[in-house]
Amino acid sequence: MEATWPRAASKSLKQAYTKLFTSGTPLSRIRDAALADRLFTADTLEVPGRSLAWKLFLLIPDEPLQPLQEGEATPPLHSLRGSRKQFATLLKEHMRAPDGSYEEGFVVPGSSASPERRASTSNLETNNPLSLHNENPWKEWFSAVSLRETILQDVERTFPEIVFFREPEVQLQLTNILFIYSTVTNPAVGYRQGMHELLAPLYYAVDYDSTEEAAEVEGDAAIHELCSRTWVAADAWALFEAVMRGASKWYEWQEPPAASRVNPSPFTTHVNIPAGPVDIKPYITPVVEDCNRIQSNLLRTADPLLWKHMQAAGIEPQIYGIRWLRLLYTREFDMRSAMKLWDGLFACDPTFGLAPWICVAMLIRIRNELIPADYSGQLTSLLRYPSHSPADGPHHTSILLRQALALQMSPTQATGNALVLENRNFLNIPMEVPEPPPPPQRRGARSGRDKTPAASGQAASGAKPTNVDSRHQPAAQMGLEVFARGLMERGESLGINKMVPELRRNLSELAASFVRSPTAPSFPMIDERPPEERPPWEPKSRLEIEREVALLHSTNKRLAKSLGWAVDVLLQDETESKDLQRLKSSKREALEAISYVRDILTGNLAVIEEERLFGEEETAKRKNASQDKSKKPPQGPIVDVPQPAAPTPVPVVDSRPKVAGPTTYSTPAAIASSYSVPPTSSSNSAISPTSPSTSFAPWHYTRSNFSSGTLPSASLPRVPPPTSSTIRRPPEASRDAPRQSQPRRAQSKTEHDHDPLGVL
Amino acid sequence: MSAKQFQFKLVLLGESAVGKSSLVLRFVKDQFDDYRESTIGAAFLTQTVTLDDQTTVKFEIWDTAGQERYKSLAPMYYRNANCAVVLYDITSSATLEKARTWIRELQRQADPSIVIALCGNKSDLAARRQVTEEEAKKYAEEEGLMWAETSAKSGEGVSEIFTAIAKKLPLTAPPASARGGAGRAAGRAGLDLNKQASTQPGQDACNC
Repeated sequence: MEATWPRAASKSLKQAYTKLFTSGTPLSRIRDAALADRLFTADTLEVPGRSLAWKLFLLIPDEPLQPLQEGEATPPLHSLRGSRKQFATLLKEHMRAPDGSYEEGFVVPGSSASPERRASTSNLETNNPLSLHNENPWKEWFSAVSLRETILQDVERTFPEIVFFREPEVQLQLTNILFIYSTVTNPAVGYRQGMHELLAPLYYAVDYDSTEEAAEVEGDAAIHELCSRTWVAADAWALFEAVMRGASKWYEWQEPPAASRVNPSPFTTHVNIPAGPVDIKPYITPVVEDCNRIQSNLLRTADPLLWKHMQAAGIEPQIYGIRWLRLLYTREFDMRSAMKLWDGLFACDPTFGLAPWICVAMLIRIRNELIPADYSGQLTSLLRYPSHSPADGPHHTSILLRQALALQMSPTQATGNALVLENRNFLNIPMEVPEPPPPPQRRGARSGRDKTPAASGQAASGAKPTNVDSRHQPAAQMGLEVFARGLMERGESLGINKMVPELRRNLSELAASFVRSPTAPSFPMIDERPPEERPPWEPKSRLEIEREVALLHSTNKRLAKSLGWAVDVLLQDETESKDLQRLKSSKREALEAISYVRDILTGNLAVIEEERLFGEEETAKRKNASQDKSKKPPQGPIVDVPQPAAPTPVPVVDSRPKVAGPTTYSTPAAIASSYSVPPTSSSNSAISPTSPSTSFAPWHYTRSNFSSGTLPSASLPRVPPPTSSTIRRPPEASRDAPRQSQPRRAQSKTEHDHDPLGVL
Repeated sequence: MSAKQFQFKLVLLGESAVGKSSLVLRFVKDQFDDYRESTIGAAFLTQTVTLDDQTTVKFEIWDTAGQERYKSLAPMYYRNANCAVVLYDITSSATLEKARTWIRELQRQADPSIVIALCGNKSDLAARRQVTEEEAKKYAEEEGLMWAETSAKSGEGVSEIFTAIAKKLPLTAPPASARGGAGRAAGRAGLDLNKQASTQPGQDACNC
């Protein structure tokens, strides 16, 4: 076969071999390097030595007692020799027609000529192509031929843009491998579309690293044996088998035959009475099960807001999950990146237990696209995964893997928050979610008529957070940045900054990102440990500091709004006004508001009274506006959705009291069971604010809104009243709750503007 | 009355490699690739057809995987579909057989008001034809289906069949509101309406 495509240079191949096997690097460090995209320096689709690393990661010997993890990496030659021999045997066995003949040109790897035709001595009565006998071996043969045709139909169009896969010889080998896998290893599942796209990159990598029979790689026979071109197909088969050990469950489409699942009873002829409760659940394919788990459990725990929006839109997780899982993300990223992702995935978890978490991290990465979008917008993002060009720093796939590992280790909302922060720092994905395109909404009664650009701009951006760059933010925020920097400097002495160097580097932008959307922060800030439980010597947590900064920014924003209003009022021309008396009184109000703001800024007042920030008229207007807003579901962070349909029937058992707390990740079943219960306002009222002074500020509302929507109702500190098991509770019951736990002022507000039940 | 936009869910079904994705690609982007990667799961595209100055029809197209015959998955795609295009390959009579089973399944399981079109693709390969026009046409007439031959490669008949479907859909009772509502609200309303459409199609028509 003539090479018309690039192959690894023997020099770089040797380098890779040395790096992996003879430099004395422990296997664990090689794995770490693969995970962090430091194993290979090449930034192309073809990477010399990639197949060696994959062989190392995937072809782990089965002996369970080997202390393999700690040791030095050894080339898996032993395992390869065995699999090569096995592949040749299987080919010879399964490619032979019942009359003992082989297709023309069929060559078993490792031997130069076609295998000899062995005369079959079987009965011609049954063994002939035209026999109608039930045991006619030709029947099986014809179905095998048609299976190979089906496989070839997909293999022919594998990766249309890579010319390597148009080669008939390559297509033949891929077909053979898939044929052997689906008839010998996994006949219950057989060949399923998608398997070919898992095999193709494996084959490509092995072929790229293969060395010619004649050409000796300088002095090293081991390299040559490991990369022998004769055995490209056999090695690709071995890798494919290893990959499918983890991935085959996502291709399962019918209930496996009972014999393979249940321990066969020695008394097979007897009636078997199962010991436990009879399992009559309808069969759900494992891939659908995993998809449901990804969206309804894992995502819901890590990013409840995003989960809520996807549920509200009615996204069924199979729609995106099937492809993501079955193809291991090759269609979601460009091939070059997908292969880097495979490097890391194979290194850290060849069983692909991490795969669902990768999906969750992928969803969180595109939350800004998903949250504001409607059903078809969400679908478009999910099925055409947006690409992210990272700035300098780690490759975006190794960020993704690290995030998936973090989620797997600690599946909490705090981890989800950290992911959003990390995506901001490394991938420049803003932390705040852009608003959906709003219906034209102007505060018509504003009399300023844009005479003061700064002030009106401020007010406008308060009304609907826009995507303005931090540079365009009004100067009012400069002081905050200085404050935040001071905060960080204080933090430095406490050693916080070591933990969050990125936070500091991007401080100004971070500050801006907090300020930009005080009405809709992308994430609630929840401490790992409440301050009262913390010993006094422990520094403030990062989240706490962040919250303080955000709180301050938000206050300033409100003050700026007030000032903006006041300036607008004061700028009005008295000579033009028709209602002079009214104008004069509102100007007086404006001056009062300004002096009130001064008092706040000097620090004399702990609690800000919204009414005093604006004149009477303006206060009423704002109240109305926010009421209107809360009536339009898409505007606020709470989308009062009429019972989003669950994607697929998941058995629902109301087990909420069983779940311990918001951050404990108990059994998936427990979480699954609680997922279809929509959050009620009781969780809203149950969370009492940490300090009374914050209870009145707007971020508090948003926060409690988030809590009401996002915290699983299981996190209630007390067992919810029995009514909560009914999905819609009577309004009386919920109105009682806030009175007990919420401060008076906050309560009236909450009822007024934000209680979803008030809208109902 | 101002311009109206209608929105319909369309699902493409048919045996593997009959050209479902190619047909959609031709319809949506007017492109054709000799090799088109197999669809895994499903693909989702939208395209708008203008019927006259006043009326446009937006298709939300679900392009399914040919091999996706899992009982639990295919219904997800044709559930609440307003119309279905069932494709076969005129050069392979086996694919017509598969099309028949899809049509039977749709008639049994899908919304009773669903508009079904049977499409014989690859009409550019008429030299290798295995399914005659008469045979397919007769079957379509018996079952009350729309029928056409198309070629995603040459583009022949592609936009015509989608336009014909658009005309056959019940435009008197729009399933989605006309333009004017907020984007997201409209999207959600459309979803809810779809759910109701399965029992009482078009009852919630928006009159704006």
